[in-house]
Amino acid sequence: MNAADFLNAADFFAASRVLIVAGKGGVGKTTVGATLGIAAASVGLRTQLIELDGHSSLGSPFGLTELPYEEVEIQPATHSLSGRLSGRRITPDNALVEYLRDHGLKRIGGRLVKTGAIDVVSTAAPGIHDLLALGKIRALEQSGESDLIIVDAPAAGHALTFLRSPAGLADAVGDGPIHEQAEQVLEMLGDDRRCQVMLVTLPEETPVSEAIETAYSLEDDVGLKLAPLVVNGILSPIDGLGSALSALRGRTKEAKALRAAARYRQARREGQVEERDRLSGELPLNQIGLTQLPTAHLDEADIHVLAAQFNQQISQLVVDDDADIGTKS
Amino acid sequence: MSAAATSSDTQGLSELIQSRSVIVCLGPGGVGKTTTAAAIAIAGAKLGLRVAVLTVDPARRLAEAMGLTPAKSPSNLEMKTEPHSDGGRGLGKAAGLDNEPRLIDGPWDGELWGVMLDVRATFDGLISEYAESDKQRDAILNNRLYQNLTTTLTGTNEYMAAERLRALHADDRFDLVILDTPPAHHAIDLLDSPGRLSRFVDHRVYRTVLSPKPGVFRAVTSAANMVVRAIGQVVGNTLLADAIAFFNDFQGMDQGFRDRAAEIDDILHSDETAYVLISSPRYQPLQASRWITGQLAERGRSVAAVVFNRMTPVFWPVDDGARWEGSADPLEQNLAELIRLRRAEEELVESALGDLFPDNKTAQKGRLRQILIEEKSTPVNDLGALADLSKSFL
Repeated sequence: MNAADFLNAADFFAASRVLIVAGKGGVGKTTVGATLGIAAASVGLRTQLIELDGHSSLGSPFGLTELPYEEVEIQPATHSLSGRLSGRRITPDNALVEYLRDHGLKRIGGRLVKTGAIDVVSTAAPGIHDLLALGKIRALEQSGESDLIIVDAPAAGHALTFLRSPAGLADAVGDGPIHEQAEQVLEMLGDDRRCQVMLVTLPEETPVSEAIETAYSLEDDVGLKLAPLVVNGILSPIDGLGSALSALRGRTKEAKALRAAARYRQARREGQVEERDRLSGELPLNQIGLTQLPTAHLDEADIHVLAAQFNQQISQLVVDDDADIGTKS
Repeated sequence: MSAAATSSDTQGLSELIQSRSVIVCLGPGGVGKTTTAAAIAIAGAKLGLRVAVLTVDPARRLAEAMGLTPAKSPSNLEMKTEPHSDGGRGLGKAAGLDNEPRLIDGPWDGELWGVMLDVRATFDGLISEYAESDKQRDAILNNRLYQNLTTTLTGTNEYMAAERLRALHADDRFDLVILDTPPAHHAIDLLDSPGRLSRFVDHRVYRTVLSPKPGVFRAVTSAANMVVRAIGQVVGNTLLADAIAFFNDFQGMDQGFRDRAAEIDDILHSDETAYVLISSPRYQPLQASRWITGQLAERGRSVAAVVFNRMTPVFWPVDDGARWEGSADPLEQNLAELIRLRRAEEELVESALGDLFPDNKTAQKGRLRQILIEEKSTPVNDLGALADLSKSFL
């Protein structure tokens, strides 16, 4: 065993240029995407957030609605945010049209979209939209304009389909421009110095089970490297709540309310701890916990709080020379 | 009306459940849609109805609770041994047990049936039903484009859910069919999907390709031909050949599919069908809910009831929360935080309702059912917990 080192957040974020955030619907994937963006920018990386088709709204904590196809600045570099944070939205149709244009097929691209024949293309070659979105991400990676590209992947089941698309297409298409594109994307996905996947889950039964399944599929079928896993929505402990509850006497309205509220928090926390234990028992990945902030709508300040939590925990992970960052040593 | 009512707007869903024959549950991912659909179904069974609940992708524990095990896709080989078409009811049979309703026993007067959607089996069943010969059926079932279609054509899952819904609706074993849909933006595809396959196979591109006149494929004059060749350039000629074979094989079946699509459309647009929106009191799911409601409205449908799951429980009147604020006592600190959270959730829900249903303000209050479900401290994943939850809808 070599001497252990503490990781720092800047090293973690610089470990690969593409970080794909994946998880089941409703686990707060988008919140985590935005959090990672701030976390990385705050340690000096020029960071770009990418949302794909669907209802991702990475910009919403920053007061932005849907991001445009062209990169926009989300937060400029400041003294507290030494890198800058930008974002864009990649839609499959945009990516396909851009791809065809870049391959001398501009007129055809327009026609495919206009006639609706694009449905035939994507049915004949499933995953072509996903591949082209990934191809665009790869192009951004290669351009070096950003130090880190954070991708808000489609929800769980779809994330697998999304990330499997290049392998499927490389097989199906034989040769030609799409085959070449698929090979290039596969190369990126399979190289942990270029690309990692961060799974997000909640400390609840169904999301945990799904995270475990997705993790194994991603590693085994797709050959992706997993970063530490984010457990979102953790109820923070309140110091002394347990002993205060046991000491609580009385049957007044107040006492009853205090007792019920304390029991509720404790029961939910117990359930959460159980699920986190199950998760770490079944999945040898480090966990980063983000707390459930007492608000129903996270704003920019909340995202900064979560980003600080993330960076603080990343810097507590111990890595030795042989172990991966994601995997527990 | 039950004691579970938590606000004056809450009227339960009894009337809705008893007056409709189809309830479609819509909502974003992760808000407990499947659980809610199952609980509404139990509420129906408690009201004495024979209810079938069709679920698309239940979590394992919930599937077990409902006596459903994850579907396995039957191979085409199994399909071939089944005779096709006995008026739609053969579908389940051909598809194997997993696509068939299963009776779930419980303490209710009516009947509860669970059905898990098997997309591939349902689609294979449709092909079998409409194929004019075994040869045509086999050619399609073995075509690679067809096999892709079942997994990749946008809306195929939803189309098959709608088809299964139609079959269950026509089945006189059931008074009420409850459909649990896939998340958010796919759910809306349910409304569009029946027509989508027809449009897909009707496309004039294929008409050109499939034209019986020899040599047409070689004619450069047609714009459609350019598109066909463009597809070949992008995806390669093997895949293109598969596509052409598929459309060739599909000829003669399109009318059947069009008729069926129209039938499904009628059900989804009928007044017998109610749409229930399921959401949770958080910003992102409410945004998605706004989108869903807007899409429904564009299609001339409206939401009959909204269920907000995962509300922080009320331990103390929310408008009197201030008295606990700022305390150093851990018990008071905890209560204050939970009240604050509940208040934030109520505000968010209120504002979302205002946006979602602008017509529903004061004058018509009560027309839209709103049900707030409190977060449980333990997960709802067995029949007992589901039955308990069903009280919220009665």
